[in-house]
Amino acid sequence: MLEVKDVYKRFGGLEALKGVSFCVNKGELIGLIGPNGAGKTTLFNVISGILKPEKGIIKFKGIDIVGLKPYEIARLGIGRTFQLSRPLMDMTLLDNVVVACIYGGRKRVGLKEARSIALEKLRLVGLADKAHLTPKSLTLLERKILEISRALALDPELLLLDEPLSGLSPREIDMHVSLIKRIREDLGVTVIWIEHVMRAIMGAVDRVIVLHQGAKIAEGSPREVAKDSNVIKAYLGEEYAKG
Amino acid sequence: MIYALRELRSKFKSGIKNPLFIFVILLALLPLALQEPYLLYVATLVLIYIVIAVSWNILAESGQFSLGHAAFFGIGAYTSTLLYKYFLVNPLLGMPFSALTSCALALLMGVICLPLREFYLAIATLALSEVLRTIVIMLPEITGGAVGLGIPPLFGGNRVLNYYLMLAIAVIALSTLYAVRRSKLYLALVTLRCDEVVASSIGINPVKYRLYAFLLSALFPGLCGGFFSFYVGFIDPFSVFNIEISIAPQIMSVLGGIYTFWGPIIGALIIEPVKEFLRISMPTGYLVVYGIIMILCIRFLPRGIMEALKAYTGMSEAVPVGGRKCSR
Repeated sequence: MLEVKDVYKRFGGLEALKGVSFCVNKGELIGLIGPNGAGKTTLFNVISGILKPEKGIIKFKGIDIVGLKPYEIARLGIGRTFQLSRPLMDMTLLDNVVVACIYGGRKRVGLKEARSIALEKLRLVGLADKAHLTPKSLTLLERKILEISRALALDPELLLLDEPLSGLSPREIDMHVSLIKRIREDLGVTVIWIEHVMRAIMGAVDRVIVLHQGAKIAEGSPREVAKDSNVIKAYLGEEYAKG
Repeated sequence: MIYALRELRSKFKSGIKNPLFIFVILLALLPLALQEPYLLYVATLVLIYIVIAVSWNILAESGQFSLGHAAFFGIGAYTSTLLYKYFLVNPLLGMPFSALTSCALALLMGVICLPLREFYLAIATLALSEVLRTIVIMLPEITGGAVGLGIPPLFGGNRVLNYYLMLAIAVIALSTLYAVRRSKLYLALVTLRCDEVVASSIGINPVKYRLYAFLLSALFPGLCGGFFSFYVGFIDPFSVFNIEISIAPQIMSVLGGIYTFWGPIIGALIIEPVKEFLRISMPTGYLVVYGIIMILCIRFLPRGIMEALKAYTGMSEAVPVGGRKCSR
């Protein structure tokens, strides 16, 4: 479904991505890990069109999406969330989702229809009774859920989650992980998930891709990756022991 | 058929309760109360400023701040004037062309300003309106230059008829922008203001919708300009490309409540009369008042009178775009 081939991205003298390649199959839940500065978020920004790679091919459903604008990529069916959650603060929760439904959804809908779809989406994640509040009154977890709900309003086939668990308490982490699992299982959405909370991600994903200094150093099942000497050398050793 | 009629009736009934409808009725009755021509003149100016302020605010809603709305007003004014002077186009026919040239200018301005945000954008719009004024001054053979042009006033200068014409323009402008605020277009504009990166991540083309905001925001000020030159029967670059016309809508919006429909209207209703009456006693005194209002507002009431009203009446801060809450 998603094919990333030999992608390069540099910021001035820093090579953020040095020839990253991988494939994602339909329905997979992929973990993307790596130490800070490994290029994970850069990779997301390249896939979602916010950054343009210097070199490389990114194919989504067989279409080369390099050079497309972010809104075009969103309409093709790639939804995303952001590392620091970014709800639309001046709008109600409902409008947060409605606007995504109208402009990013693959079906053309009017305002009225979009409202009922959006309310349904909010009900799905348990935010329906706050639909007419603004995100200012939400907790961090609720903001993150709202962001996911907004991305889901696009009816995406691929969802990119950028550190959905950062800043959450252990109990919130469990709740959020089960939501992410449900998105894959109930909605059949393919998910790529950047995470630092190893305990959570290693138990949930099908496959892990490890980035280090802009290059892919390992790929495989969580079990294989955890044993990989390169990964342990790069960072998993310390971090996993802590987790 | 009967069903359609019934629906029409219920629409009409709910329309009567609409605050905008009541407001327009009050404005229509105003000339009965204001017998003094000067007061009616001020009332007409208030209408013009209401339209400009509400238009300015719709651009602000998309996160773009203009310091150059006088450019739209001015180009509208010169369009209807020059059409009359060189082609003898009836001013009433010329006014739609004022709106058109104003939109064309907005498109140009929007395209030039696309890479700019916030105060860089504001400065660029200011510069553009100043450039236009200079161009008009430098083409005296066509525009009359700095001296200006005299034209026969509309309706022989009848204040009441002119007031009603301006009211008609205001009704078109306000109802259009009122409808826009209830449309999905408005959602896209507010999304752009909140977060442009998020907007494009959910399928909104920022370039397209920023331009739409510019067009919407320029349309009616251009029309007002087209009216204004024939209202006063004279046009010169200093009065129509006046920076005052660019600054007033911001003060009005901030005082009344920026990002709301009624805020700019309330602001214009308060500020324009105060300014006019101050102008008689001390010619530039209104600038002092502007300054004081601005400082007090930013310090104590950053979201204006509307915010205070909402807090007072206990209305919830968030009203969905449809205006009414949808059922669960």
